[in-house]
Amino acid sequence: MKCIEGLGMFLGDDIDTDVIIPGRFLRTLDYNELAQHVFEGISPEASRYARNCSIIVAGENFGCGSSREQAPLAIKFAGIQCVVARSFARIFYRNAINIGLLVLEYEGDIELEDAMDVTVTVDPDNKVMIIEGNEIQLKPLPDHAQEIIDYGGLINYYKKKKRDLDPAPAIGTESFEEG
Amino acid sequence: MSLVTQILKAKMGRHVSPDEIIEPELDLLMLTDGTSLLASQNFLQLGSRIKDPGKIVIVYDHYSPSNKIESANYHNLVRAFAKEHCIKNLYDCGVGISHQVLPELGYIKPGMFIIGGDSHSTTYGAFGAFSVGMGATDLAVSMASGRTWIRVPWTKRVELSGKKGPSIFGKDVILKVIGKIGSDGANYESLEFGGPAMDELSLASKMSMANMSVETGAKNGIMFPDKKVSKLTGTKIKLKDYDEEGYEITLDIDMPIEPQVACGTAVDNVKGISEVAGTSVDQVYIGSCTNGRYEDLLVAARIMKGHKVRARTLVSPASRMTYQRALKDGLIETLVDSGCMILPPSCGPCIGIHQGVLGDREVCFSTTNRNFKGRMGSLTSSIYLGSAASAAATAIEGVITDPTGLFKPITEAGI
Repeated sequence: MKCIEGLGMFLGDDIDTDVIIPGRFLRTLDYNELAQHVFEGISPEASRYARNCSIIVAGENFGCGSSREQAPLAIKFAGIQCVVARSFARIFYRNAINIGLLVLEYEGDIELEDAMDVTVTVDPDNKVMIIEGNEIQLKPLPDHAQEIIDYGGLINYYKKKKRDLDPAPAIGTESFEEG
Repeated sequence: MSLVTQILKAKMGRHVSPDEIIEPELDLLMLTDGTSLLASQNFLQLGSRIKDPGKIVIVYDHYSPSNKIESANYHNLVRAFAKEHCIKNLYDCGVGISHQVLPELGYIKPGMFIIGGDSHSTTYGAFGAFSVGMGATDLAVSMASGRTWIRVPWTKRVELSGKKGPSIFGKDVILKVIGKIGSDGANYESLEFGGPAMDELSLASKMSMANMSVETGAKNGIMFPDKKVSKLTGTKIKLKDYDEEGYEITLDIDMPIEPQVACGTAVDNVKGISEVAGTSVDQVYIGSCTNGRYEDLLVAARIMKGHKVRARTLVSPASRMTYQRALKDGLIETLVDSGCMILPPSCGPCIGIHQGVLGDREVCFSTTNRNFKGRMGSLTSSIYLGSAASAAATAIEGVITDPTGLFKPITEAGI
């Protein structure tokens, strides 16, 4: 995978799904519109800043709370290419991988919460993140998750690789069985 | 062997170990009006058929009735999708909240493996089911395949003992647990509740506990299905109760003496009610999948009878069945006489989408499950979480109030 380099958004622990995308913005199928409200649960200024960033660097339990897939979708469609955190909440982590948003864990402390205008580089192949000249080790994704990311998400994975789903009947050739 | 390991062993027909990745067949897949929108769109991209429409249940609860034009249009989109794909189990606006409706209608049985398009799908664990919250893409693929991949969780056993205080409900117990282990204290684990004090808790209380298990980061919450559950679900229990083998960790937790309250913007910032008593509130909400059951309405009515509320008080029965039962027993009349507004059975104010959205710097005491910043409205509003008893006492005083001594104790009132 290519290196990702850009502005970092630095956040603390327990960044929840209501803060990532507040409930009142969920009712849309336009993911670009959704992205306009990413992190608006922190503040409108945070949302504007986030939309210029390429990488999120966060603490423990990133994405805790709801199962809303709009949380990683808002992040992805805002142009953020990678979320790096000390740990992830499980539903967010799974959702992010399923939509092809790269999520990686790191060890150690990064004391840069709320820092602005700091460039971050993430090298997914060599499992390293560079912030202000400091190298931080990243943990590799489990193989299963990496494969899904490589295919650009679970839907693509099923359409191109797994292919073991029963196909939908052609329109007009048979009627569905009553459920 | 932990309850989840037993359930997955039965599903796979062989022994399973924690951290092992397996792909068991689902017994049930639940979607709300919230998650069915994205899930159905994702499903259509697969070009597949639904594996078993009979195992899918859709409940319209989050935007019920619709709060704006888009919501109404999306409701229609999913109705059309369900009809086209022969999903007959669609419970439309007004039937109630998914996590209340499914047990009421007999969908939930001990030993089932369930995935739900809502993080509080963990509620069904109160009936001895392994029930996990999932997102829209997982649900779409599972609708087509009838399965999902899952990493077998380690189990954290919570042994509850001691005598509970006279005004303690399941909500207080789970808040104490969350306060003790933290919002990621059970990350990816199965949180299994048991111990001698469990017998003192009603089934409704156990539902509150399983419901909020997810707030510890747990994959699911679960309890051994006892005789009450066996009778309610009409099933013979095949699961075996706790035998100390196969648990990663056991936590001993004493039952709380005083009601518990989650404060600030963190669900794990839990204090005894005496620490926050006297805090002024603008709004009180009694309802939601956590505490909108008959037991919650009953204790609220007992406390409020003969009093007038001093804060704006919203009450929402978790389902039409609960509403009807409360109407017949005079609870709704008591609550209305006290000045409560009765909302339709739905998620209502919990997610800040409609019906009781909070304004700037407003304070709400709520029986819901999350107090994240801005969850119920303005970013400067604040939410205290507690039991229906605590909420009712707070409503009649206008400040956070301990309900101890304000009501006649309730024995088992059903779900």
